[in-house]
Amino acid sequence: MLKNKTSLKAKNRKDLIYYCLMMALPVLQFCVFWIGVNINAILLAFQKYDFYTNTYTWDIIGCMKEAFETIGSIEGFKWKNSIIIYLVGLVVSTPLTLFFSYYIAKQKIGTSCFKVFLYLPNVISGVVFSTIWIFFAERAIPTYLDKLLNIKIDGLIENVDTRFMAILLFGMFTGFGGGVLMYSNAMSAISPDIIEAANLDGATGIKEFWYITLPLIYPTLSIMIATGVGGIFLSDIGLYLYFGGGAPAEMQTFSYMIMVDTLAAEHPGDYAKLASIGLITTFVVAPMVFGAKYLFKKFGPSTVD
Amino acid sequence: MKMKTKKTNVKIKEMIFYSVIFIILVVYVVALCSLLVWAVMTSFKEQFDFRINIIGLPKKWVWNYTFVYNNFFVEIATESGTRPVYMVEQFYNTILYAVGCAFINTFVTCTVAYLCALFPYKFSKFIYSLVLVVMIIPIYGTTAPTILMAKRMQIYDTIWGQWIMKAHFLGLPYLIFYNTFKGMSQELSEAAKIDGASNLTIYLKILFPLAGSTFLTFFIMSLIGFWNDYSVPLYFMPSKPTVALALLDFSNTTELGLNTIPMRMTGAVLVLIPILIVFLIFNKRLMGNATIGGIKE
Repeated sequence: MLKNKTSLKAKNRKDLIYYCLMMALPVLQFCVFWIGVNINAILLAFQKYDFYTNTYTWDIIGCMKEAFETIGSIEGFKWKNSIIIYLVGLVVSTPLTLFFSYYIAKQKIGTSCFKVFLYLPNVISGVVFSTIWIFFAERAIPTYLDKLLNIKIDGLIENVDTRFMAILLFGMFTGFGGGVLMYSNAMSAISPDIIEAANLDGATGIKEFWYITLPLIYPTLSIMIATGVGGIFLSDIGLYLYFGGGAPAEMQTFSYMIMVDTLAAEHPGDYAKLASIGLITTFVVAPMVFGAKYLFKKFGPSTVD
Repeated sequence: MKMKTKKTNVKIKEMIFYSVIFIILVVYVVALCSLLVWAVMTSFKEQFDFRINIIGLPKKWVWNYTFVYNNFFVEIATESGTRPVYMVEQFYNTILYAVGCAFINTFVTCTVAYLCALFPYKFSKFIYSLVLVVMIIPIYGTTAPTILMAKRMQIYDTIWGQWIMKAHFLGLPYLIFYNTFKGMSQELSEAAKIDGASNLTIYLKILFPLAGSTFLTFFIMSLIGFWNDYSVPLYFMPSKPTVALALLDFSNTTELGLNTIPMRMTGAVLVLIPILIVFLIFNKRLMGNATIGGIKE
């Protein structure tokens, strides 16, 4: 009995040592590159770089004031562009994604082929697509329209009136894949008994989609939409891919501006300023995301009677 | 009679609904194919041919790929000035970066998930909750502090530095690996323990192979993501350009002979081909296996 207890203790100790050794490096990596980076970001946000002494000095109020001034001085059209990108994604892209997902979940005609082509843009690099799209939109589309329909237009990217929408809609066009896969899998997981019962009651097609499918995939959908609220600040149509650091001013967004500033940062003072802006962004977006999640949970459909 | 008419009306509405979506999807597929086919066709044209024949088949098929592969370069800054990085080196950087990061990230995630699933210590539960919390909390603007930290740690502008930075276990794959290991029968590993196998042997020779399919799926998904990524090399590895980052430069190049649209399409197709081959081989696995709340196909 005593021998068994002793060997069990030894075995448990061996397991614990093994567990600790295997966990050590990943946990250390997490501590450095998640906890360390985020703490560093918060500390940096409240410090200014002194170029004379080459050190950081604490200036909480000064840093926050400067960050707010920077955000406040961002031209209105940059916010407008960010909101347009977010709204197009929410109002146009999301419903289309849901309809495509429903079609694929129902295994209708051409499902296998459509699935491959909807997912293909996820596999192809954004750089490849932007490289092709710039010249396709500039040269090929005007030529197609001229030859097929005798309509003469300028290239879509050079034309100031069309370039923002051309790039935005192309981004939407290539962005269906991941969402379609996720939603169609969630729809496929709905119990066939529920679908059958609904069909017997006359709910097919659109009615089944609206009254049965959407409510049952609501948790997945609400999480995606709620976390996407942060997209107002992060939304970017890949402007850097098309224009590098020199995108036309009227097309720029908040996210693009931060990206260009980060790439141009050379001095430690630049990083501190960006950290301040990042901190403010987090404090604005995080409540928005949690608030959206709460509202979706409170006012969404319940599957429990 | 009324019931029959009602049923027929419902069926017609349903048919119209699915037909409209079918037509939109067909238009989508045709548009996407036109884009890619045009790019490939253009890559086989001479500049003069392209100028007079933008959308047609090449009048004379020209092999531009060797020229682009051998001549396209990106200039990087070094201590002694600048140095050209040709496509061979770009592909080399990309393979090291993509394969290394994908393997390390997937392996670390798999291992931590295995430890949490099969060793029911309190710390395992803590790690599980931590992963969920990190997924939910939106944190923005950490790129600049991360660059600063990478510079301080002397891992900035290195590929192995990226391997270290990607050796984390955060994200959805952790949850899927966790469920995979939790759902495994422990008979084999118990039998191996009785035979005197160590925990490490059991993990590497029994449990890890059983999770091999899931591992391969996430490895391929990560590989594609890292291959196509241009932003991390742009921020963290400016002097180790990958093909994606180099293509960004190629789009704006003014080098004579390379600054034509056919050459740029050639460059784009060159970058596209390897990952397209991976996708064609593994597309069923990629689209069917790793799911969120869906059933496996």
